[in-house]
Amino acid sequence: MDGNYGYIALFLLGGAGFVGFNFSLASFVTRLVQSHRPSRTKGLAYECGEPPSGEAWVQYNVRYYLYAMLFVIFDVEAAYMIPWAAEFRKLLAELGTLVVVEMAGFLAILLLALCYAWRKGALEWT
Amino acid sequence: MSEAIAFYVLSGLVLASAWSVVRNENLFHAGLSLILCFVGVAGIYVNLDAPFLGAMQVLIYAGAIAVLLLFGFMLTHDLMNAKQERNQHAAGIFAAVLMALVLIGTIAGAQWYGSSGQPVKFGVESLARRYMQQDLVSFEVVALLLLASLMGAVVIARKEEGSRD
Repeated sequence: MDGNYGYIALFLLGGAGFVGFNFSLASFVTRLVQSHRPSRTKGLAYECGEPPSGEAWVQYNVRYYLYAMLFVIFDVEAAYMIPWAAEFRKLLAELGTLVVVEMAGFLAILLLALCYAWRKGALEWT
Repeated sequence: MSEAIAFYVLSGLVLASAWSVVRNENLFHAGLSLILCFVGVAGIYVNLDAPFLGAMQVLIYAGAIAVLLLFGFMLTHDLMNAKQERNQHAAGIFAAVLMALVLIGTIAGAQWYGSSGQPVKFGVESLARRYMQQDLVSFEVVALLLLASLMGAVVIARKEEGSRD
């Protein structure tokens, strides 16, 4: 493992420690000075906004799934493009324009997917 | 030394979050624990000097797979009131043993050292080279597979919408 990842771990620990310390300090101080009298009115939305009704765990619209699927497709596409992009110079020198053509074919098929979704109105919110 | 510490911390994280995935009563919380588990596995990959694999683990598993899983929960009707089946221990243990056997077989069969005695290195470069040479066809087929999955999602979503109106 390279030494650089130690810094990432340090940032991770430092960030988590900062949040954890401040959060526990704030909740400790709050507990010292607060008076605890909860009521239903206090739990409602403040000033503006609809009063909540029903549960939060409802069945979501299937439309969201299309957005998730689009995200997944272009996420996976990125996973295939990164090694290609990282070694592009070397591969271009060795294999010539074939490298560009192959990736263009890959992207063209995915562009077709985007066009299909667009044409079918999957990107529109009606 | 620091690598050993990182390994044990990350392994602890992975095992604890995996336990939470299996034992959590709330399915959605189990899904969130699964993301933590994936991130921990990504950390182990980075620790093992495979940063590309770690990045892909975060991008694909903690990103895409987790999103699909959680959306699947949110799209399921009446998920939170569903009663969990209690008598799945035997099937669970069977699946776990099978998985362990596959993993042990893979580890035992893997070629860890080259002919020179040095550990075998697989970098991003060899991956890119394979995409562009030997596995060219499968590379393009992947794009077709993604296209097909999107078309399937669009068709299913439109059918669902039509039936609800």
